[in-house]
Amino acid sequence: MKHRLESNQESRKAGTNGLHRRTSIISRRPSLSFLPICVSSVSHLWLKTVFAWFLCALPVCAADVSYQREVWPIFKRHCLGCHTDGKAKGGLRLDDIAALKKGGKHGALFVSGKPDKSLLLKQVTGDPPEMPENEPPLTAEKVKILRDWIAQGAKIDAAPKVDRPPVVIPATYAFAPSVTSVSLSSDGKLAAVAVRSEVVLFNVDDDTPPRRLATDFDLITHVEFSPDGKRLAAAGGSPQQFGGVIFFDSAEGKRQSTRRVGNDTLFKGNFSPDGTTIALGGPGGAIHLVPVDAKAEVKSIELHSDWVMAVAYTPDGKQLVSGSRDKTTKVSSVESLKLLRSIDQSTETINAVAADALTAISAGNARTLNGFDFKLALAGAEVTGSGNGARPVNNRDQYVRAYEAQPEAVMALAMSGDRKLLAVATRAAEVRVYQTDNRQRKVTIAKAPAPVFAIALNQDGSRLLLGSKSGEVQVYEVTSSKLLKTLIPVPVAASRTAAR
Amino acid sequence: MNTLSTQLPNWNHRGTENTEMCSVGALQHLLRLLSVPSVPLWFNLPVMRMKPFCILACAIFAALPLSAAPVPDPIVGDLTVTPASLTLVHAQRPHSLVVMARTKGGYDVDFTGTATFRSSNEKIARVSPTGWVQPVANGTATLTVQASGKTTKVTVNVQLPAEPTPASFRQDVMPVLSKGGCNMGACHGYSLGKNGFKLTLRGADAEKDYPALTDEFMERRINRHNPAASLLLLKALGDLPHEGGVRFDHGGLLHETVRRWIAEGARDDAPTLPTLVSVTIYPEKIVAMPHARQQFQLVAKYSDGSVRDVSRTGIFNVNTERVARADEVGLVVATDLGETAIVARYEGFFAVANFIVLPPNQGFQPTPVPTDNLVDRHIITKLNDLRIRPSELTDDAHFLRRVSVDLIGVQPKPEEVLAFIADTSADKREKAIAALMKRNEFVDWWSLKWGDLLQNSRNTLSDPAVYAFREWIRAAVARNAPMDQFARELLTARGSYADHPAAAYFAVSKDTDDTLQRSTQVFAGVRMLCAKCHPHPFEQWTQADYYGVHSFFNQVATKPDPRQTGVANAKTVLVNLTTGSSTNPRTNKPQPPRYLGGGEPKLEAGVDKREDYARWLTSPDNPHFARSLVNRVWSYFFHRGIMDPVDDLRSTSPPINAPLLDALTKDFVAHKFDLRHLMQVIVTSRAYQRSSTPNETNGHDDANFSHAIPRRLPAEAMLDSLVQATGVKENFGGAPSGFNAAQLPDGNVQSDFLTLFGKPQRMEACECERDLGANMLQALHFINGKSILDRVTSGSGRPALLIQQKLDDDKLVEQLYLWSLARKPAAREVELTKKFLATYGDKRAEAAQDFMWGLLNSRDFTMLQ
Repeated sequence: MKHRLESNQESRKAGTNGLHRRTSIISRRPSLSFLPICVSSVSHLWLKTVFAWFLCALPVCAADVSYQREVWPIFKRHCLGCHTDGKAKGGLRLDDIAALKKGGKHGALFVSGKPDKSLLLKQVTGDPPEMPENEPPLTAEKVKILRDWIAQGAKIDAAPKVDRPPVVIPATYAFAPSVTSVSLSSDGKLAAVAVRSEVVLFNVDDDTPPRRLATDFDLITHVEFSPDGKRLAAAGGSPQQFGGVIFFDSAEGKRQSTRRVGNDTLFKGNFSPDGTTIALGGPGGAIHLVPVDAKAEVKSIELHSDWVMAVAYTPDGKQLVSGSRDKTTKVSSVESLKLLRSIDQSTETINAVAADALTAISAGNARTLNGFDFKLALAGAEVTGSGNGARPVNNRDQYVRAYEAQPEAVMALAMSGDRKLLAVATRAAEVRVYQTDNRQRKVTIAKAPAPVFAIALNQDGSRLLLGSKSGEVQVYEVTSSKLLKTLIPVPVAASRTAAR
Repeated sequence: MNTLSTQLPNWNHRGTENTEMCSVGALQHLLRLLSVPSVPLWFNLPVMRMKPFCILACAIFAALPLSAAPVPDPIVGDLTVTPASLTLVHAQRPHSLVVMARTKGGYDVDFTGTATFRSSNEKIARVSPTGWVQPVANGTATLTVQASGKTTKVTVNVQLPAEPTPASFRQDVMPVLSKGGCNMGACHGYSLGKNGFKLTLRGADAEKDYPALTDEFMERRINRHNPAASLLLLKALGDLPHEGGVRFDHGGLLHETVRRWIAEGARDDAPTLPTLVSVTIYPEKIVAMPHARQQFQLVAKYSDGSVRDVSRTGIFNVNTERVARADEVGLVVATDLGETAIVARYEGFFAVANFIVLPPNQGFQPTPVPTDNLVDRHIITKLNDLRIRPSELTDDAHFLRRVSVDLIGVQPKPEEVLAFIADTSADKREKAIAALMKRNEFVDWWSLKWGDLLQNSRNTLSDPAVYAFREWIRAAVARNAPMDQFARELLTARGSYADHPAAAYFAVSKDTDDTLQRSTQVFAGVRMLCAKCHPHPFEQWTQADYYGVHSFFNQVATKPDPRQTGVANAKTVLVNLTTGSSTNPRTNKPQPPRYLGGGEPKLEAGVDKREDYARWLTSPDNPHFARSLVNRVWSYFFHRGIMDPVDDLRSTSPPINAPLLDALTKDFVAHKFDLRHLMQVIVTSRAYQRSSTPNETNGHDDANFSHAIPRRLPAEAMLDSLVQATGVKENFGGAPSGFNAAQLPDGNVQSDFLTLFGKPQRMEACECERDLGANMLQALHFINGKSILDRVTSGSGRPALLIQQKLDDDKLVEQLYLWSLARKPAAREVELTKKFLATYGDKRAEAAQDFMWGLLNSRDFTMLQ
């Protein structure tokens, strides 16, 4: 009883607090050109106005409704949260003219000229109306707009206007942009770092000015040299708009090709050992296998129930380890594109994964770093159910290979090309490097610019590159933990660097 | 009687009434003449619910001629502009002006929307047509405010810092997230967030919300280098699909604030940022005309002494929605006569204003304020403010029935009624009250109430423990134990029922959370459940407050009683003195004992912490204990508490008459927590003794005790009164024979009647568990069920006994009225009843039975009029 009372109050509050619920009632004014026809015998202007309003309340006299100016704003405000590309509840999309005309899985949205036979009107009227779901009903004015629009033939006068600000890459930044991803060439001499919408290449051993590679992505989430070092991939996209990968020639910095994948940014990934494909985490819970060859097809493995934050290939290139915001770590087969096993369920989001020859490794906000023995984890795993629901027999204790606890949430992992060293970046200032054979800590870099968002090792693990939220990038010699280079890779206005 | 029961369906079909004078038709006819509703009270309820609509409709119609020819009510005195002068130190923080005046008729009139504002120097400060003052450059300017032919000046001092002050996350952005509704429980404030984006509920914790916005998933949600591309803005503006809809308007305050903060680098605040310490609302009290519009101003005060106008980002709610409605920026429009609290919320702080809508003053004569009674003094003062005259005192018989049911749970017997009416002494009501308090039934009745509140029940306690606890309560009521002592004993009891019966109080609880919630609800009238998981949405309780009280009670554990093996629910209450503080899940740190809304005492290790809590709770200056108890007891004698509901006391639902509650509390404490004294003060007041018949000024008032509001008899009082009236006892399964309804040990008895009329099962510490409502089942039970029918037709029932006495018609009618309704019939009622009896011819017994059946089915029996 107590609970019910409170939840009532809560819902009452929710109903009265919502700012958006009452702020914009679209005002409709009768078309003035119409007046002389309807009320030509009335001489006084105010009487005309009164009459016009009165008459225009009648369907015969309704002013022309503009889809762009009047109907689209209603869709945008009340419907687009669900009926849009990606979500499309009930199979209905309202953000695309063709899809709007087609309707959803319950059939056409409207019968042109017949509002009362139109599904749209049935959905938004009634007591209480079906739509908008969990929201107050549309006001009478808005329902009338929809009714009139259909009655007048549901004409599309102009395509809806969408405000999508263009990507802007400042020549000089006001604030040092956070480093989201880093990569080192095999020899450790060339570094690539991603900051917001651009990738920056610089030489570790000299001070030639960094090369800035602009993209049309709002956010680059992953940057990586191909194993042969000839190619550079930058993945990401614009949140809730599109995802994609851009391949650059790493020597020239020239764009080779661009692939768009899905309707939201991609996350972290990994080049296949043979360099032909890059596997990337996707927002829909899938891993996307994007081939370097622009003509080859993109393949996907649907296996997580939430964003896939990171993906790593096993050294033989046959399997993929993935970690997700759904808190699980999974192993899947590259050949069959099928889930092999959910090997772990953390208490928090997994931010990073890696793999050496024997173990899959994952870590995240739970501050634990775990290896999972492939042989034991995958041997005889009885997978029940299918897809995301796969639940293996629980013998985790037998195959987990724990590393020491981490001081803060783990943001990134880096494996040396020879798979002997594992570097761990956390929100803390301490960066740790482990030997993968015995899981012992080998090197500690004590004073990195926290929080460290990105980390990379070169082929033999002699050099370590890290990038911080603060915008700083550092290169270390691993064995001596000596700082070789530190820089902010893009120009930043002097007065503001201090503030950050 | 047979005819009656077979033809009963006719009662629902007034149109099919038989024209022959059959018994049913006659009875119906008679009852209608008697103004006793022929259809029992329940059928009338929808009509009662229509009342607000009628008032609303009347108000609307009344307003039509009013607006055509307004009653001249000139402004007296000057305009009051608030603030009278202002200093602005922040370019992004303008301040509003509220322009008020008072009329000769005593109304407050808001001119904020219609006044003209002019700045002496637009280069220093500009003022918008709605009265918002925007600083431009340093210096002093004078603002001239004109309204209703009057002029007032306000000095503005602008002192902007050389460098513009950047937007603050806590002071600017967090309030926007609350105002936009982003952090509501149904949205991203949900415990799991929404769509992967989680904010703390109602902005409880900026430390957690800052990283959620600025760095989760690689700064995905904001773009400091290209603010317009920030996902946060695109979604809130609806430019990208957002399931939560459009929350910000393009270019509006919310959009601009967040955009500016992102453009400035989305910086976190320095640890030295002043914290919010309070919010105040202006005006705090307003007497408005019907349909008036009033702009409210909400001002936040920070720890460095600075103030800021937050009217545009505060959230305004109206407690009584019938009376007024509030818009997004604190403009309140009066919609009906009455009174309501306007509650403004800003970042977990609340401010409350009193909004009164009065009818036009048409020669209202204030009632002289009595000085001899503290209750009447404050009630009449308030009623005069509201231009309400109280109703007359009710007559002797109605008074005696009301006070008997309220004090001893049963209506008076005929001889008591007759003796009381015959008494001509001036203080006969006081004498009757004193006599009732000495009755055994008084102990039954108030022990029943405490049994409910303390949840004494065989659902959770063993049989012997229930009876022992019942006896302990009865003894306390019988000796009129001071309430502080009573509460202290309960809150510190331990052992099994054999050691201390009051230990049952703890044995009832499932766990410490249960004990905490019951204790705060019963002894402070405060509900803490919300604060277990997040800050209370309507009060300033936080998890620190919750776990602070939790730490006082966490030493208690209940174990099966080793001395009563095999007995169901046999428990013993143990206190583990080594238990430390409870953990606050928000901080994951121990929360030391903290008094409810108070300090944290330094307690030595190894003491029973409950003793300190009980001592604090029952100290005379405790803000919760006496006040909540007084309010609760008050509600037993009226249709509502002075604060209501009585066990959900919050600053956001202020008392309807604060001076009254304060005065009663003070008096109660001064009389050493004497409950009988408190009851006596209440029932000897004129306010308690008023008639339920309204006059032309108080019909709309349902909160200020200007007239009695009819209440249904509680289940036990109804049954015991029915038993007394008919002389036929009720046999309860599950209780010793001979117990009447008020004496029952708990709700675990077989009685359809008591269940139907809402006797609580004692599963909750909430007054709401007792259902005092009316429903169709109750009506059908009275009409068709055996409770009345069997009793009036019984051979040993009242009608039969009266018939045996061979009374004449007059005597018979009087006796039937006295036993059934505890009053004498009016002359017209006697006459009509005699006619009715005559229609039965020689079936006099049947006539008496039918008539008593009708009386007991009437509102005069089921309600306290």
